Amino acid sequence: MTTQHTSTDRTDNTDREPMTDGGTDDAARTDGGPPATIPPDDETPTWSERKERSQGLSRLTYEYFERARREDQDLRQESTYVERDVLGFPAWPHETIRNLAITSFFVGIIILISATIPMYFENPANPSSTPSIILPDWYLYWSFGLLKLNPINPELSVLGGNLVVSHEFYGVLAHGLIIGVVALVPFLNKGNARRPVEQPFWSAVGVMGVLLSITLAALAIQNFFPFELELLFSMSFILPVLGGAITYAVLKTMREGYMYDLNKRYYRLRPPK
Amino acid sequence: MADEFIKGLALSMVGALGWFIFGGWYRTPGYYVIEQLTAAAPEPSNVYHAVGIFAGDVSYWLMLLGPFVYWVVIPALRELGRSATASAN
Repeated sequence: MTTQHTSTDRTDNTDREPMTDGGTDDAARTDGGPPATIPPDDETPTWSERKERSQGLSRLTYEYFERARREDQDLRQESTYVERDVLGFPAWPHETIRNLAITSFFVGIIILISATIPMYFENPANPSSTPSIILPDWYLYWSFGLLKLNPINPELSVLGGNLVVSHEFYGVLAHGLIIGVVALVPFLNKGNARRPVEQPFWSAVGVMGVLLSITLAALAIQNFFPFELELLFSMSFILPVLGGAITYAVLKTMREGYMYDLNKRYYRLRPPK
Repeated sequence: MADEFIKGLALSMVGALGWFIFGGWYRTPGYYVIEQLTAAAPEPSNVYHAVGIFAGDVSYWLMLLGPFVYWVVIPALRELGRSATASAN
């Protein structure tokens, strides 16, 4: 395995032959040219020098990332890319080896668990009898919780204390309200903040939404909670508001000392060279 | 700091995995009951089962105490030592 790259690697496939339309490859290409291979410099240790170093894995990791950072920097300086383009690591071997390591790890965990605690077969499901507790998949608990809003389904006295809509249809209407709010938010806030602290109000709205989805999910599985349903029902709507208020207060406090301009400058796309 | 974080996290994850496996062996009466991984362990009939139940307990406490030591105890001791040297100087 050789690590010797010469600077000719960089130029050997730049093709100056005229093409059928009169231009050249170089003139036509818009991707900044072939990847610039970085020759070793004086700071680059040889393999034997690397072996002699005994600081261990942390040193090796540091050297790898420092080297990778330096190569990336040199690539940026030598190429005609503008800075807003992202120069990544090559898929082979960098990304592939890393992804293989991660994949092996998770496959190993799956094999370990399936080998040590195999699932056994229960009795087959009986399609002719409905279980006493029916629940959707967990990510739809919030929706199921919305169907259990019957304590706040109003009874109108002009109707003689009768309900305007049934409890079921009331839950469906509540879905319309939730989905309507979710659909409305992008029109009210364009989402150009980079940090929650930049827009405390909308961060609080987001926290309220997340908490409401969690508490509505808890409402769906209400019989799992060892306290009164009335308390659970009240907490389902008080907790999101409380969480939103705390978020707003904390973020408002954090605004002091936050450098908006610096952050804007950091994230601004830089103009081409 | 980052080293201490990953040590605590690694101990927690290793402990959780061990608890998951040993708890699945000894502290799970069935997969269709509410209480899983925490049910009372049966009386071990031989030394292997005793070792397994003990390893499950060790894993469980490793999951909890590992991060506690590396994220709370060791940084606190370090801060104490730092403040002690600062007040001595």
